[in-house]
Amino acid sequence: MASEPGPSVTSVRYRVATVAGVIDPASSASHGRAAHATAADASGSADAEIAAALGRGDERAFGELFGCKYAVMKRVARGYVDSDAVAEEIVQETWLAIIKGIDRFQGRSSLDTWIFAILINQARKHDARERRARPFSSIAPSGSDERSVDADRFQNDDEAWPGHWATPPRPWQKPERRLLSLEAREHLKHALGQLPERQRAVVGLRDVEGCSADEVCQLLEVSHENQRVLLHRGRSRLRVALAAYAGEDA
Amino acid sequence: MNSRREKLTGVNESGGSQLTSSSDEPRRAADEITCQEFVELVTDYFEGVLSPRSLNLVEEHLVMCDWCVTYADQIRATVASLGELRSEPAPGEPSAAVLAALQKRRERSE
Amino acid sequence: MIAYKFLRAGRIGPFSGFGWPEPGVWVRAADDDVAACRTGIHACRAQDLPWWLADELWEIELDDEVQVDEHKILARAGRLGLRIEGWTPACADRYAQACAWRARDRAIQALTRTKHEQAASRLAACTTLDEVRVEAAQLAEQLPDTRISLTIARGGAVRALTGAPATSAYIAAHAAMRLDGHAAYTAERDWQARWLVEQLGLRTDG
Repeated sequence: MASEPGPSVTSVRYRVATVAGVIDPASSASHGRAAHATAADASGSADAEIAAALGRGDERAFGELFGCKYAVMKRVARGYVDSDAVAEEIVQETWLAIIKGIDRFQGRSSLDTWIFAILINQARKHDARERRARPFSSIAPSGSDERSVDADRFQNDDEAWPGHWATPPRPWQKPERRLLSLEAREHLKHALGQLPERQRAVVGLRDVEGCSADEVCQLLEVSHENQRVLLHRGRSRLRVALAAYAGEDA
Repeated sequence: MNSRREKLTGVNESGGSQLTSSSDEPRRAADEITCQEFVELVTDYFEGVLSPRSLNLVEEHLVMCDWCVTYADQIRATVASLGELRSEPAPGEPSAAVLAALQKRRERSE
Repeated sequence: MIAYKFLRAGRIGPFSGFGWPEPGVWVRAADDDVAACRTGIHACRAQDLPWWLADELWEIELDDEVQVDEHKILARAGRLGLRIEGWTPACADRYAQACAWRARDRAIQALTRTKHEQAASRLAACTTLDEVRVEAAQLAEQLPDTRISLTIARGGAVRALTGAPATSAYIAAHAAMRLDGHAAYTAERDWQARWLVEQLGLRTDG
């Protein structure tokens, strides 16, 4: 049996969580996301209070909100643009828009969602400018028939095992623990930047920033199913990019 | 011999692959998925949203397909690598323009 | 009731990565509802074994409320019992080989049905799986009408030679199905289960 690798996918959190009392149920909180102030988890009334305080120019309320949101806003913005400086611009422009436009917040969504909608809007403007400067950057379509792996990697109906691997994936050279050399990191960042925008947003928030599925659905105002589709397609493309980098036929 | 294959219900399709019913397919058992189907289910598998039936199909496939196990490992490695991209930004300060706007609000409400 | 459970080396759940405690210690599911496949302890009856091969095979005692699912059973709680010592890498190899030979036999049948008697003899004359591998590959190229059965036989031999028992078994079941349909597939899986039961001295009643 030594040469039989056996299934080794172990990151299935929900399965690990099933046996209470023997192991710790997997925490549903995502690691490392910015700690939310009461505003984020709160009911609409807390949001309304903060919005009202901002409307009055209340420095303390502003300071708390700013301090609490800054890091994640910065990281989300970084997901959209190549440079830290531009991400900083985006965040500051967002805060300006928030303060100037706080009267327009009506509690239809959470304050968080509202803030991030503005942020993403600002980020898109910058992103659009940058993309115009790179006229040949590929903006691949994400049609409904997008496949994770080229069909020619699988056997067709004439062959012994239709639908099974014709050219199977080979394990990458480096163990997953330390996949990212500096060069690989740049390669991955570039590939992330090349993703269609919505895939990039979901992958960035889920896999780079560690937000939970619920959070991402709220921030981007997408259904869970849509979020999964985008996550799936984004990850599939990035796997291809890393596979190419690892020297294998993706 | 009755080789009509049932439609696989309850399989979430993140990747857009259609699992349709067909008849008389000698090379496919009613209760299996192919590698091509697995690669479209892998995200749902990791997210924990597969129906019990689909989960069963996926796990049975993974027992005997080390290539798909490799593929799943590669997806996991991709996710792990993405996590490595995260950097903690330095603490920020509101810009002068932002503070000015806040000040203006204060003046207006007084 | 007593059932069986395959685990990865070190008593690790093959999909959850959950580390099972030593025998005798109860492990309980989180939810009351064991119906959802996600919760609950999974185990095999003897007839389920061919679908779930892994490094270690254990007896497992399950609490009373057991649900039968496709190729497995679910319970709210279980504890490992005796380790089935006979399930070793060598045994797994023998199993893989046995399955591969049967895939070879199906290919011989296929050749006979398509009136390739000489080719059938040549394949029957192979005494090692490596010979099967080579012979089946050659014949597959020469005989397009039996190509797939031969490719399947070659695949079974290869997987047995490279130590992939679950795949070899899968291939044998498919070789049967190709010739004689779903009933043959099921019968082949049943044969595989019986092989395991006999070789390992397993109990077949609950």
